[in-house]
Amino acid sequence: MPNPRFLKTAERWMNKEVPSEKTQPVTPVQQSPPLMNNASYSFLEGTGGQAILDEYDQRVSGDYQGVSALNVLSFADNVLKGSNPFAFVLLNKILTQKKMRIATPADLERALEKEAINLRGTYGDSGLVLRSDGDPNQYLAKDLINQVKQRGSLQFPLMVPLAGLDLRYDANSPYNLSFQLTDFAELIYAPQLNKINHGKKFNKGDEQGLPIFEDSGTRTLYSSESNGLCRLCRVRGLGLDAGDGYLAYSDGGGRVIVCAEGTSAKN
Amino acid sequence: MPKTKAKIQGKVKGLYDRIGSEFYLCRDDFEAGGEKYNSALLMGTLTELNRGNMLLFGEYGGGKTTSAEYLQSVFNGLPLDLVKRVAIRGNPQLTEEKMVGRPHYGKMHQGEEDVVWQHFVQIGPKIFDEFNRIPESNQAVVLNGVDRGEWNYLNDFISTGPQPFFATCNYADRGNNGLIPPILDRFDVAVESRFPGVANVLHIAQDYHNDKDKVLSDPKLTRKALSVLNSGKPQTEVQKELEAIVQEHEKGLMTKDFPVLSREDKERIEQEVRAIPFDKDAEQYFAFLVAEMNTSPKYGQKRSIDPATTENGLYLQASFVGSGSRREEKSIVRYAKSLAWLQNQDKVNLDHVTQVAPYVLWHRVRWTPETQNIFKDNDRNDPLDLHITKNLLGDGTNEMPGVKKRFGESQENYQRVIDLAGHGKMDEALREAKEYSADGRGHPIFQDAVKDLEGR
Repeated sequence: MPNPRFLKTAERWMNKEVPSEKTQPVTPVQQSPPLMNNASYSFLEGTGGQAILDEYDQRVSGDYQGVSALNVLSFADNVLKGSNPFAFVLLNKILTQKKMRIATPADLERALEKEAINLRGTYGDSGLVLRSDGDPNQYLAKDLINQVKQRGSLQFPLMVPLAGLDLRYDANSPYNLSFQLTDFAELIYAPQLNKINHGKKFNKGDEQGLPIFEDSGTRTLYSSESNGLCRLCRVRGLGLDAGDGYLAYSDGGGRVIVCAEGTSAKN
Repeated sequence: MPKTKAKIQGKVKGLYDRIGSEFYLCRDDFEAGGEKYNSALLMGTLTELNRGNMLLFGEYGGGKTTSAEYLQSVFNGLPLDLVKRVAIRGNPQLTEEKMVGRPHYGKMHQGEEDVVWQHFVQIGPKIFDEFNRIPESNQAVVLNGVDRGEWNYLNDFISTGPQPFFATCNYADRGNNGLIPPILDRFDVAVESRFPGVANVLHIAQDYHNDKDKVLSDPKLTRKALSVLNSGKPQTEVQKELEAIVQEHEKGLMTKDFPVLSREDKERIEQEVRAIPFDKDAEQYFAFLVAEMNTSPKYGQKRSIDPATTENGLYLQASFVGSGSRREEKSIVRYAKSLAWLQNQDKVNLDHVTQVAPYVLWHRVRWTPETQNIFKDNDRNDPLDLHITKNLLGDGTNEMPGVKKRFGESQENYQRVIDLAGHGKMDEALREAKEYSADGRGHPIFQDAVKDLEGR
């Protein structure tokens, strides 16, 4: 039997109108814990990986009406394959409930530094790069800019790690999906990702995962775009692509890197 | 607005202004409802209105004791010299016999047991100066007295009921001790007595021998009061005679154009303060705060013996060790109501609660070292713990969002659960509360609502 005091309080606080039936799936407001720098990194493999993909597929059809931009992940050779920013945001929602999360740009740099995982030959998304309210992806760029402005000043280019984003179904979006900043979203001013730095070399990233340029570097920044919204993606040669506007594209070379076993909350 | 209400409020504000402009010169550092105040003086005034307990922190000679003395004198019609005389000064040798009471030695020699109560205990409004100079073991002696106005010694006890109580504390040095958590919890609010600014200091420095205090002092009445306190008469008689002295002093102040609050005024204020309700936003924010302070999806509830964990998200519960307490929640209600009353408001609003709550919590909450590290290098005006508390009870930062921000984000969902429950749709209310709870990662208010709806 419900606590009568709760019911009395509810009677005092309730609105006169009976609430209408929910038409949209519930999106609980959550706060993700920050994770420490000592995270360990892995691909999504084995039965655990398969189970996460099953849950992912259920969410895609149940909560997001099976939109095509999310139908990009597959499980083959005992590993989860595919990568685009939409899929990774949804994957992250599932992973955080299991005390894991997708890797941020900073995580990926640390993983490479520690040689914790062999990423060569694969690619994977880790963030978005917001440069203006124009194309590519004008609709999503404008929407994100509005959200960012509500949090304070805005300075382009802005790098937003996917781990701090949520996803909502949006029939007006060209992808039928929109990004939503969570409380945990990091908004990182990233002048390194300006078009002027396209083709520059680097060996490692800074604390935020942004490249530290060196003439003698072996990795390359691809940053040929100066407008709109692009994906931030680690590419097969371990370079960084910050100029790709095809947000829904995914292929079998994509890999999700998770901070999983061995990670600990920042406490 | 009833005329009488406005009149008493005007009187109280007049006293606040007079102390601030003539006696305890200070700068404003607190804003609520568009009005500015000095936090130490405002919280002191609210402490007088609702007969609470207040801790004053600050540097040596920073005006902690002075402000408490003026407040106790002005709001209780006590001669300032009497207030100073009956205050206790903390030191490591202070025993129960020096603080509370001692055996009546004369009667003891005749085989009788009787207690001579110390002045500090007999007088209603109290000041304990340099409170953290008494060792932790002796702090327990004053627990009950601070909490309920009840003092025990041998087999006797004395009760003055709830009375305004001020304790001053210097910041940590070699000569003082930490305050034990149960004692800290018994203080409704804590404030810092701050540097008042150069212009005020230049003025204060010219006040050679506190000449300004003469208007509030009355050596003759003080001697009379002390003889009453030393008389050994029963407590009811002592209180009656003290009340007569207070009335005489109040008359004297009136002739000096210094009207103070009468006993009737104070009784009416207490009734009016008590009757002010919270508006819905204020009460729901309060509910969110209580939920974040007391629940833990991992350990069932917050406990001081469990570590703070961020596993379920960066809610307030993850930022400090310990838990909320029923005293602390009562303090928020009483002080928010008092502030609303002082500002002539018919209801306590969100601003009242969010402005008052940090002063209720900052001395009680033990922020984790990680939380302190995040804020320690911030530019700030407040002591670090108060700075953190204000941030985390307000909107917070990008890195650590605050309760108010989360309240704004989840209030709509919570209202849905409330509406469903209020309209008798229990199953739907429970289902939605569970969904918003998100296996412990949603706001703690939903975990708590699930328990209430399930009758657990």
